[in-house]
Amino acid sequence: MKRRLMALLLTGVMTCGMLAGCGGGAAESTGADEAVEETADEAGEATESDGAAEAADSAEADAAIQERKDSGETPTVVIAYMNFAGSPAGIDRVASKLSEITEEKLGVKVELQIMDAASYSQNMNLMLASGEQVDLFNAVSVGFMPCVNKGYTLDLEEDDLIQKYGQGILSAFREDEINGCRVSGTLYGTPVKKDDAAGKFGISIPKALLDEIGFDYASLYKDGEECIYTDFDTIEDILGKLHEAHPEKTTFYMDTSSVVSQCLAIDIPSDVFGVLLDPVNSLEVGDLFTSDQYKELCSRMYDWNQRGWISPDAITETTATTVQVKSGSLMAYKTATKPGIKQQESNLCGEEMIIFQLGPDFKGSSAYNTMPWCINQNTDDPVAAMQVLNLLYSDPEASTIICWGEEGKEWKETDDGHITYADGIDANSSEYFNNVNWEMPNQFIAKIWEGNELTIWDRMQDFNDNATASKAMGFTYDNSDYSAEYTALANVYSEYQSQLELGFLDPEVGIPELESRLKEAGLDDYIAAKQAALDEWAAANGVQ
Amino acid sequence: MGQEKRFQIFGHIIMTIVTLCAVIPLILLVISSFTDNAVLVRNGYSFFPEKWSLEAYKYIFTSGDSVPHAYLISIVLTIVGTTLGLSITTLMGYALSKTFLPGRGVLTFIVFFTMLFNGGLVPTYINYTNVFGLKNTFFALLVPGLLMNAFNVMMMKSYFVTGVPEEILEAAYIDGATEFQAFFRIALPLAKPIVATIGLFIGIAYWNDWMNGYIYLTKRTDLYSIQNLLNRMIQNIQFLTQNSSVSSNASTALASIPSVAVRMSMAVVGVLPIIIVYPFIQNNFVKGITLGGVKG
Amino acid sequence: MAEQKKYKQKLSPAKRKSLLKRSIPIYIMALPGLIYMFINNYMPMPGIILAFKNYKAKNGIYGSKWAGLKNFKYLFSTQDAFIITRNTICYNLVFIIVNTVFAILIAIILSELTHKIKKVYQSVILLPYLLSAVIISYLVFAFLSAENGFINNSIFRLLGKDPISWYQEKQYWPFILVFVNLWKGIGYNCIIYLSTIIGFDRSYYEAAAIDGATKWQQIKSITLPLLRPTIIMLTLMAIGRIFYSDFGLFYQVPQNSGALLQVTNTIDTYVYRGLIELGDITMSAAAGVYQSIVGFILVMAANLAVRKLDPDSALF
Repeated sequence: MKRRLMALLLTGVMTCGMLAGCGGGAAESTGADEAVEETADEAGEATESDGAAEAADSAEADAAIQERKDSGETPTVVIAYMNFAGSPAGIDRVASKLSEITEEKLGVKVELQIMDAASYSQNMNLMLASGEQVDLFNAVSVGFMPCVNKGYTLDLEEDDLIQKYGQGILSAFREDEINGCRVSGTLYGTPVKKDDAAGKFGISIPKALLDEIGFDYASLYKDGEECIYTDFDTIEDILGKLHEAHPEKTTFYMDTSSVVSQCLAIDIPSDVFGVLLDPVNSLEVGDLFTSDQYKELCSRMYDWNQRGWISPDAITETTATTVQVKSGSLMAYKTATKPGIKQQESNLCGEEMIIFQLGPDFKGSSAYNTMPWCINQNTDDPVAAMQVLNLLYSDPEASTIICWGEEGKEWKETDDGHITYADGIDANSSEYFNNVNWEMPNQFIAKIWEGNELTIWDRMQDFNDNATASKAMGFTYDNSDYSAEYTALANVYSEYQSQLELGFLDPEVGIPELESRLKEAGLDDYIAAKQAALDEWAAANGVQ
Repeated sequence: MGQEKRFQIFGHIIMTIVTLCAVIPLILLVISSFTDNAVLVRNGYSFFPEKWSLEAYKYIFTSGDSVPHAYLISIVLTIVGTTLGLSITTLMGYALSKTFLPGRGVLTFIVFFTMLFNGGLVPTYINYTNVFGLKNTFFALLVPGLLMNAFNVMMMKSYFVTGVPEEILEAAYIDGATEFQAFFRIALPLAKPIVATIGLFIGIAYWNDWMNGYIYLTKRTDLYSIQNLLNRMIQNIQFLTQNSSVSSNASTALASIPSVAVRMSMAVVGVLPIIIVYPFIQNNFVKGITLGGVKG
Repeated sequence: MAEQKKYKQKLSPAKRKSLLKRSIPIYIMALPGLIYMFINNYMPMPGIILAFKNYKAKNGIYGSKWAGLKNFKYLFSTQDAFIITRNTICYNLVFIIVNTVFAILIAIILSELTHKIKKVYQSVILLPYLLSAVIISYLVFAFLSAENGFINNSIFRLLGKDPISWYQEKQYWPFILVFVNLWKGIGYNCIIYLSTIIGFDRSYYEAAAIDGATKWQQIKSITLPLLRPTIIMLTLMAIGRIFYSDFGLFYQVPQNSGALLQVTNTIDTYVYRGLIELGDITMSAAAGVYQSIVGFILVMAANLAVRKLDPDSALF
């Protein structure tokens, strides 16, 4: 026995020695920042994005570019993000196209690392932990808070990095949007230009079916609006008639993962355990599951289910709603609305869809930090990384390439200023068609794909600006100290979630049961901790 | 002999039931891969679909991800992996079966210990990428985890202990054979059933594996095996239906992911070669029987 | 083991030398395997300490601060700790018994059948093992779907029974899971027994047949006793994995249906539900260490017991 132990110990010690080098490589890096001495530039508060992106070139930025070009070396910046199909065939070609711009403007080359959604989180964790070269990455799916907690992200204001080299980023956003990516005051990421708000409880129904049951939707449109804003009575009337006309089809379906977040106008910081039930007026963190909103939602779904509007297989459904509509098995489904939604859903379903909306347009506290861009703390050259990021936010040509690929290969310009597939190319044969522009730094300045209005991004900006916003805008909850409670709560919730929210369980019975199980799992402590964190945040940011 | 006959009939009845249990769902799999996707979504899986379609197969053989290429990778990987893995496993198993070997207990424990403890994903990844630089190479599919495992070594060892008696080897030594000669001429032929079995296990492990490609091939997706293609597709669907953080953008993505029929046809394509290759492996079992008979 | 000791005691210096001479080629044979094990298993092994660290990328695995047992807390501080442990262990015990019994049964039948069709049997029953868990979950769904499933739509309709919402009724799932597990693994599991049986000396059977032993008697008094070491070894190794569960079987096959969670939640699925959002590499490392340690203790204890009862069958 002793000998065995010895042998084991020996192997262990030897291996320790061999491995010890690996983790450490991270530590040095940042010191080499060239000390450009100007401190004059105080343009930190570029409050309004008034197209003055040219102001981006600060003296330091120019100096850094010049120095790089003089040195004769061209550093490479690796940019990582996810799509849904993994590394596309044209990745290196697109990267070299993008490099043409970055080399000319910044003296930097870029390399792209695109991973599919399912593996992105794990692969990023592995790459960031192992010290592989990744300079810029999007934190989507990996999670912004986990990234910050593990120390993967660089403080973007270290040595005024973003102020000196990222003016294009700062001028693309309002200050409160940037502040949304602060954790305890430190800026760890930059928001992306996307739909920040969402129209709650949208319902999408094919026009043909509405015509069939003789529902007059045309008169309900208010001028110029894409969605019909209506109430539950109207919708229930429609669903009832649809069900009567086609009892063999499923009347209504919504995918379970997003029922609460897309139906209720509540603010959900990090997770559903502790939410702001009245986010416009109050900073009180409440219990979702005892709230009237939740009960009303579940009761309504229970009622709809009892009426036979929801498929008995709804809980186990894995086919996309739009595919179900296309195949003719589904008549209505929930969707979160935004400008362009009618066009989007119609394209996906292959027929014209009418969009109804039952809730308000709402913007939750996490709007700006669900998928921020971060700089790896391990990067060799934070300045180069920041400058590339800055370019992606401010240079329309660069943004178009990272969003849509290369002109002539992936896309071509149409006569009216849109772009569309290049000749002989479609979604399948394209070598760079990622479908993830909401994750790109600034799709607002890229070219617009055919089928969307040319004014889409102006409308999106209005939509974002006009949506009802939570008082806790920009608050991020770090649940890492409560990971044990969180895991227990998440497991309890997943036991009831789909049953309650799709109406398979009587809320009179189910909700109290869920509530008591959650309480046992530590819901009260968890909510109290979230409230304390929110209070602290509010005090620090002067929000009352 | 009546009793023998009764046993044979009984055996065939049992095996027919078991085989049917295995084959019926597989027939369903094949049929659904030939079913029109809209019908599949609307009516669910059926043995007698309303409408047949070859679309799924057209899709997988013509779309951007080259299925024939992935096939080639899978086949090369399985052949190389099985050959290498089987060699080192057999040698190791044989060595551990030698009762006279000093330190045999320690070695066995070192092997067995790996079955229970491992460094975990992150350290393993760091080891293979930073120390050995396997990332985005073919070796990343071949080396990590699959080449040899404790289970196979233990099986091999126990077979050599019971199935290849030391006395037979002694006879060879007396004739002046070296250890290697004794192994190759006497022990290995006697161990054919287990070699075929472990070879099959290793082969299946290589054929079925997608984890290595998933973790180590972030850029060289041209090195993806057939299972990697299939799993990427499936995992992404899973991700989209579960992950609420991107769900507002998920609908576009989900709709662009290949249909149910395509997933089914990929699964069929992934299983097919085994049906073709397996009978050849089985022949080795039969050879094992005859040799076993001679041995007594 | 006992034999080995005897052998050693008798060694004279000359014999010892020849033993060494014989051993060197054997060590050389073991070398490639040992090198691989060193690279693949032992080099990353020190990384286990990640489970005890408060990981910060800047400091690396070894430089990060110790966190004590903090990363393990979530595995225990929950009312579900009992349920997930119970499910994991009970399912595994049932799997070990059911799979072993059926695998031996099928292996014996296959080894005795003379008709060539047995090759077909053998290939076909292996096929389910080659399907990924998600594909299996689709197939199970094809049978159990409430609206379109075969059981509800064909079988129950013929019998005039009411349809069952399978994915919402937890009482059926222990049986479904055991069955699916058996269905998937039977072809694979029986191979090892089959190859062992084929390796047996046929003269035992011939002698028994001449003595007029029935088939059943032959199986009982020759095949099963000869299989015993293999059975014990496979069971011991399965015990080492008793705290692990097949994620695909418990998560994908029940379609992650909440109503079934009481009977489908195992340690692996519990951990997964937490980590999908938390994304914490130290917590997942902790779960692995916990599973390994329990497995290690159990297998050492079981091996000790086996060594007392049947020294030749012990693993080491």
